[in-house]
Amino acid sequence: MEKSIIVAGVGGQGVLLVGQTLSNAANETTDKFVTYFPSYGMQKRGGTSECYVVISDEPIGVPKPKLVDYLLAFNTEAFNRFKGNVKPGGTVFLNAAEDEAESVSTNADMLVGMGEGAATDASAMNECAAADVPADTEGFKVVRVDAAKTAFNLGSSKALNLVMTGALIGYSDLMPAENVLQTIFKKLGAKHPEMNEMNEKAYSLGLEAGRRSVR
Amino acid sequence: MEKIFVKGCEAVAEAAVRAGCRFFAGYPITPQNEVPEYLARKLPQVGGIFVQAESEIASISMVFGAAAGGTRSMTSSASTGVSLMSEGISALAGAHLPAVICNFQRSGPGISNIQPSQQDYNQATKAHGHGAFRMLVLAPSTLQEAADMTYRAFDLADKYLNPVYLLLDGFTGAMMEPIVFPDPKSDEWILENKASKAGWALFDGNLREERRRAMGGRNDQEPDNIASAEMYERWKGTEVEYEETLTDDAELIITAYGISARFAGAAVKKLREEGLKVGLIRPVKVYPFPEEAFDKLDYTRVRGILSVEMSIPANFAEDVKYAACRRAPVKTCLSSGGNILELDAILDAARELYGSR
Amino acid sequence: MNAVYTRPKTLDAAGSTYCPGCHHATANKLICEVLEELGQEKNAVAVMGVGCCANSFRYLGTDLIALPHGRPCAAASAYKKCNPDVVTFTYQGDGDLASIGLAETLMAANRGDNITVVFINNAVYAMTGGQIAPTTLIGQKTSTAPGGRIAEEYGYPLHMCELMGQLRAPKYLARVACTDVPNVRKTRASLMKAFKNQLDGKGFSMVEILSNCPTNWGMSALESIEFIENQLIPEYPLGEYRDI
Repeated sequence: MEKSIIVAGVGGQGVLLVGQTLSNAANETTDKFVTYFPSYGMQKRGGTSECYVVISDEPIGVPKPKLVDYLLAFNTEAFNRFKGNVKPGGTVFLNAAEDEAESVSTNADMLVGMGEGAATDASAMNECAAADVPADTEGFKVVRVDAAKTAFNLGSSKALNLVMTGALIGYSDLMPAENVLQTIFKKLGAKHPEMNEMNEKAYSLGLEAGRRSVR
Repeated sequence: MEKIFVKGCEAVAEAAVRAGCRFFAGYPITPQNEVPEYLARKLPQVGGIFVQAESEIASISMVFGAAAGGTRSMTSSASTGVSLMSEGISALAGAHLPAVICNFQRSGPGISNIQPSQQDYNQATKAHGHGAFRMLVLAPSTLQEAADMTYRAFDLADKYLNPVYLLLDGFTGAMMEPIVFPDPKSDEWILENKASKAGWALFDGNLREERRRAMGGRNDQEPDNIASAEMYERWKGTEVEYEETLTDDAELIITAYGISARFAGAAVKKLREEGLKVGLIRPVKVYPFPEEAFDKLDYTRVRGILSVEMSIPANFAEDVKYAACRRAPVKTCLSSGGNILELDAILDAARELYGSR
Repeated sequence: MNAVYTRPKTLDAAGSTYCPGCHHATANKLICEVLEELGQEKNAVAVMGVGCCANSFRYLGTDLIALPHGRPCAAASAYKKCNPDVVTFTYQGDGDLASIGLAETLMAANRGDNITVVFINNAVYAMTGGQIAPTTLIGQKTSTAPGGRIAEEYGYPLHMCELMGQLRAPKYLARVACTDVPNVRKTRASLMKAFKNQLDGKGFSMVEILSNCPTNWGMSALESIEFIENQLIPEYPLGEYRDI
């Protein structure tokens, strides 16, 4: 059994951290093979960012597959960029308001730590034009996760990526939820133990959203 | 044994430290910056020296200076930067100094872009500088191999008193994978290793008449060239290294090295599932090239050879054609310019070649 | 009978094959004398690039690292960092040090690497036949500036001591010459200081020796000394530019 994931968004959203967290959790808590491949480019905040994670029972040949089982799209731009890379029957987790009418506007908060110059990019970063993305399209399922709002309500938009991580784990059977949480504590908590509580909340709310979407 | 989830660049850097590398000089260039960044933290902790040099030319010259003193030394760069090192690599080979050079290949020619490629194959295996010297060229295809080969490269450099070249790529440098690191050499071992070079290395006022004045230019160069050529020839008996997968009954051979071999291996697996008799030849070292792997094939059965690499024009395929010696058609499946190979493209090319007899 | 003067043992007994009158031979001898006086002649590595300087490997009895043109400072820095107890010096000409190896030289100086640099400035590329060098004087004729150096084409003579004087790290920068006995004594004293600095772990030291090239200047040995006195020294004033 081999499962592949693309995590995609904008530099500064913690895209690569999600890929590394999933990979680390798979490495540390299962016997599976795992590869992680990030996009790399000129070091730049606000640019596009993506990574590939493959988790398999056998040695992995292609760490950057053309088609993946899961796409975590942190914004609409990422969705549009990678919707052609989702397998038929695959699942897309889209950072978007569950209620299509509701718009998410937390751009200002997303700018934290990104510097003044990032203002123009940031509007694209968190703009979740939910209305134009159908629920199920092009042979794959779309799970809307109101990650930006959830994270904002928790007090840090940076936790958006953990909400998305939770949604993937809650929805899929990739790994036991507890394994990933332990890795989050270990990797993120090492530098910022004071963030553990919020990280756990963000992850748990994502888990619930993911589990709710299982039909 | 604990598997550590590690980035390719860091796998190489940590393995070098464990192999007893105590000097590194390099210049920033994507996609290998994590190598110097890792060693800038790590080397001072183990009594080693890290220098960010003013250029790749200075980097390789510093490696020359450190190696001349018997210290296990390494530099790392990517394509453009490695071109600048040609002068110093040739100098290392000419002076018979051991050192390890890593190339995390990126797109070319020229500055091009920073995405992965395998476009430096000919440069690495045939023409890494003026003067017709050769180097052992190791081409890892997994991160475990990248670490193991880096570790081994220092032994090979010491054994042959010649630079050893690790032919990597931006993909391998950037990706992460769990690996088990080889055991670190002890401080005592490292001191003994340096002391064992007293016959030629310059340290502690270790004046050696036979070595002194022999470090650089020679007027009687030819005898030295003949001795080197004999060593390169011996490598063809002792240093050839390759891996064969399902070649015994294969009617189609896919061949690739480094990161491409991963993709090629996945293609072989998929095609076998389809019932096609396909096998893989993967040179582990690309110099010396494993011609014997192609000599061993039963050409009454093999319909063709598909050579896969991330280079346009093809480089590796030229060695494959030479080794196959017109005994079977050699076709290529290529990408370049920073584009990563796609499994489907390999599968399509393989199916076409398989069915085209 | 007491010997008042002997050839330093570290200098090859066969004698120099430098062109008659060339000051390289004097510089070689002075380096050997200084290393012997410091008791370091068996604990020294000379690092050389390419050019007439590199001919010295035949005469200097120290150990040797020889590598491509312009790279001695990079190699010497690395060697010294790995072998801090070995006296490490480069011996370089103007093309090597101030043109093709300018980056390596300036960056070693700027890092303050604990090495000694001996810079032989004779204002031409000598071994290759007298081409224009970064230190060639305005109006000075060379094989590649047959009408003489023109500032509009090649800029102005490069003053390495003054250039390095802008850096904070170097500990000793001096320009000397070997035109007469008092100057030879000053050269010896400067070399002594530059090597002592290294033994004391102080950092980067450079001695620039204004030298001659009778062959490529098209002069007799005596004329070439007059050229140093009348032309080179006015452009490149002698003295200690840094001593801290």
